[in-house]
Amino acid sequence: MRDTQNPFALVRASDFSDSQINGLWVELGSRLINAVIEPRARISKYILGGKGTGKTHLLRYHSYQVARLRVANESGLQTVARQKFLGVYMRATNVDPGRFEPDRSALRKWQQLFGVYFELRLAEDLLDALRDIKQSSVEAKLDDAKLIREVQRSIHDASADNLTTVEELLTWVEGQRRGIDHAVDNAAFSGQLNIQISFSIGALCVPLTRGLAKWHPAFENIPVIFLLDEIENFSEIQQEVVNSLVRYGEGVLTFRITGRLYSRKTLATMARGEENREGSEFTTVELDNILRGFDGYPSFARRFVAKRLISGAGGPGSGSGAFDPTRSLEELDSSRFYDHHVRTLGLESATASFVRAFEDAVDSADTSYGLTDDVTLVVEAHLMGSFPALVQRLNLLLFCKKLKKRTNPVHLASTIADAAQRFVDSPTAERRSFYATAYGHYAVDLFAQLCRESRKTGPVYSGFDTFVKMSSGNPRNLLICLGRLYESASFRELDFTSNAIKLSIAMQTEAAADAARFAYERDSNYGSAAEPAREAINRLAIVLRTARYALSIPEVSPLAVSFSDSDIVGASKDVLRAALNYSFLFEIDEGRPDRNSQRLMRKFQLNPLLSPRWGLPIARRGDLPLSKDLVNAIFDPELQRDFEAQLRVLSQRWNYPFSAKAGNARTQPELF
Amino acid sequence: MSRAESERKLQELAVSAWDGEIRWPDISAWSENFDGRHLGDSDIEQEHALFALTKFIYFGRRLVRELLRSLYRDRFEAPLIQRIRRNHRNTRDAALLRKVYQSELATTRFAGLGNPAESGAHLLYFFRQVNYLQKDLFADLRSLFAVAKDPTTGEFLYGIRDSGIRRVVLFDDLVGSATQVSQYLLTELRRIRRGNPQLEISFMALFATTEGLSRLNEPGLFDGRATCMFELDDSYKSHDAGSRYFVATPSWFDVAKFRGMAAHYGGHLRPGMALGYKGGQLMLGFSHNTPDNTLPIFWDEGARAPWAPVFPRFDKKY
Repeated sequence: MRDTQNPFALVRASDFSDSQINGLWVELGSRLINAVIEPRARISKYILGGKGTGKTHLLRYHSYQVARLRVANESGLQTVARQKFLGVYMRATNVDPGRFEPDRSALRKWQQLFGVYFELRLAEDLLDALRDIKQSSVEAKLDDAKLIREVQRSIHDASADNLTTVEELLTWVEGQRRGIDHAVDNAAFSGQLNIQISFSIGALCVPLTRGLAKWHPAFENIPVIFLLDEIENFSEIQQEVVNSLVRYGEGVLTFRITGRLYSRKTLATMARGEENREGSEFTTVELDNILRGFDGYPSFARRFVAKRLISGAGGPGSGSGAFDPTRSLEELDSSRFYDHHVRTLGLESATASFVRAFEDAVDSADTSYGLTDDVTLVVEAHLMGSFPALVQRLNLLLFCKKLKKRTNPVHLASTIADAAQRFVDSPTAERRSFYATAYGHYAVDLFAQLCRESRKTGPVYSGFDTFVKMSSGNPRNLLICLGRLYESASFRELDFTSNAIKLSIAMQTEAAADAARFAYERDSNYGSAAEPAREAINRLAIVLRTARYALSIPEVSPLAVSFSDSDIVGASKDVLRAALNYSFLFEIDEGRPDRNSQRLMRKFQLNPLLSPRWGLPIARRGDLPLSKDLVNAIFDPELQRDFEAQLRVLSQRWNYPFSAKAGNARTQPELF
Repeated sequence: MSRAESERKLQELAVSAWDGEIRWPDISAWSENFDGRHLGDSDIEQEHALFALTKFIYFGRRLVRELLRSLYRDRFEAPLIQRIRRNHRNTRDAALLRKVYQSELATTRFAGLGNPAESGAHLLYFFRQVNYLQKDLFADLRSLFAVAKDPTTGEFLYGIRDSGIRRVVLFDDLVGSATQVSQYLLTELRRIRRGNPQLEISFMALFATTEGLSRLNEPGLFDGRATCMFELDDSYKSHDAGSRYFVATPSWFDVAKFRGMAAHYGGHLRPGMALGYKGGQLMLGFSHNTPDNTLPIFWDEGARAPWAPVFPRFDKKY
């Protein structure tokens, strides 16, 4: 075994040092980043995203402390001028919020105290930055007295009267904060909270921020942005404090608040004040959506991987690197109908099982289709011919899809076979034919079917682009895949970072399956709410798998489903919400009206990182429409039996397309 | 996907359970031994072999040391302290117990069974280390006893050199069928007992088959004073109907095929002992060696027919 650290190991950005934050930063493009963080906007903003979308990295990168390290020998004032804003980073967990709710009967009192404490921590971090600016900008004329006077006006504690410098103010703030720490820690044992508050909420940070322009004119147009990370760690009443600061910050107290998709627990402000409104007091951006739709993500992914390899796990990155991950991963060769893989994986043998499935379907056919034994023999002879395995399978599919009750089966089979022959003989010349279109649609799914029937392999996943697509714009997901691959290669004593070898498709497939297993089983332990969501995803994926491996595939690359918003009811709604929050599912767009009924249709896609678990595609094309009964049977945890019954009906419909009773399920207790 | 799943499991085993002591090139080379000569399809043979390998029980260095610690604590220290308590009216005086135990320990000698260069004696070094025992508690049989002649019968007997010694514990790593060792010990133990009727003689092993342990516990041998840490009953035999290795197997795995392969290739490697010494059929090994009771397909180094072992055995040279 090679004794190397996995450069793709999952390391949280919160565990990086400031220099590592800079070293491992990969530019997404200033336009995109500015659109997300909007550093000069005076309105607060929520930046929400799933685990691993880079929220912490983004905030810390924009903090003053990290920005300072990017240019050597620069003064703090120069850094602020270059940045054009002053970012003050704070993790929500730094205030240890759990301490502030020991007494449920006196929550408002503790809320007030939390508010004061929270503001002291913000002020402390801001003053720490100001002290650094002062120490590093010796030439600048910084007027501490004016800044302090601005603050002193709203502090009703004599101990602050004699402060004259930024350093003294910082010491005073630290003392106040320690006093609260002491009182809160003791209250846990004594039940008594003995404390004097020296300012009201908002009366410290607002004047401090406003006073900066008096401290030095360079701050005239420099916004101070408080970068608050992991807001989900605040309780509802603690978030009310933040909301109040957002609302009453008077345009000088501006936040960029990050959290998981489900992190925002309330929009209310303190003391039953008005609720903050989107677009008025704050804006929101969802990182997942932005990254998923970001055209430059594949290129970003390459640079991201290269940087990881150069830096090693946890080490600071330092260069662009020449490693090209695409050259280290063997890719599927789809030329000549996947002929190479059909031969090497022994996929010809899969043909027999398709013929059997086709014959089963014919056996149960309504007599009006005219599929007598003699006719079926001729039909099979046409469709199978001496075509490549994938073409044979496509011929069967097209026949299933095109045969209607009044169609002549032999004529149809002959027409399909002729088109197939022309396409096989000259794919380029026939590229506009219906057959070429069908091949373009179904080839990937049919190849997956061949693989699935093979004894040697299952559906395969390979190539760097596949892993990029599986990650869906989430760098952490990419690390999960590549981390598995690196472990596997390392065990086999292969150095896939050298570009000298290519990792096999089998090895990549196993890494993809392992990544899916990790994401589904171990990386989704969010507590009780996640369990029904996980089960719902399992049911949904089983429906998609049934579709993908059916004789008459109902939809190309089934990875997405659509249903009417009004069809999902009761518990199903909550489970769907949880599935979205925990990134098991993505909503593709805001919904579109159905052409016929004008009802609002919603479209969802399974997170492709999970696809290998069920042998599903990683890219979506069509979406499978779900009926009201089916969608609730999938998402309602209580409807397992209904789900099984619905699944049997679907399986019947998709595998026995000529059946007289297409809606009635055949006995098939276990599909897979 | 059968092969890939086995390889993934082997990766986890090698990294996590086998302490990285088995490398992929060894596994890969071993799987290629199965070239289809038995089943006519090398892919099927290799899939079966790799799956069986995931069932192999390997005791790495850390695990063996932990077993040695447990062996001393549970099979020697605890029973002795219990006996001391009984002799002192079930006292709970920890200081007294510790003091008496130390004095009893000082009258004990641990001795490896067989040659000092064999695995049993070799493990005594680690046994001493992990249990923080003094060096002078260890000896070999020759240095413990002096040969003498019974003046009345004229028979040979072994008299203990140090009259302060009251207890001798013989040690080995694994007891298989116990046929060889019992033949050798029968005479030795009789001579020791004749020369030292009061001497307490017992036996400890890390592993022992049920059959072997039963044999050692016969009256002429250790008379119920033989014990082990890990008893291997028939369920540890790969070809037994109740074999534990293949209880829950995937549908594609045909245990009869694997058994046929083990017998076929094992027969070429070790004629007359295709399933291991005395038909041991074991599928286990240790970091310091693989016992010959284990299936030869895992350990044979290819002296008779070309073969790459995955858990090589360092054979005795007699």
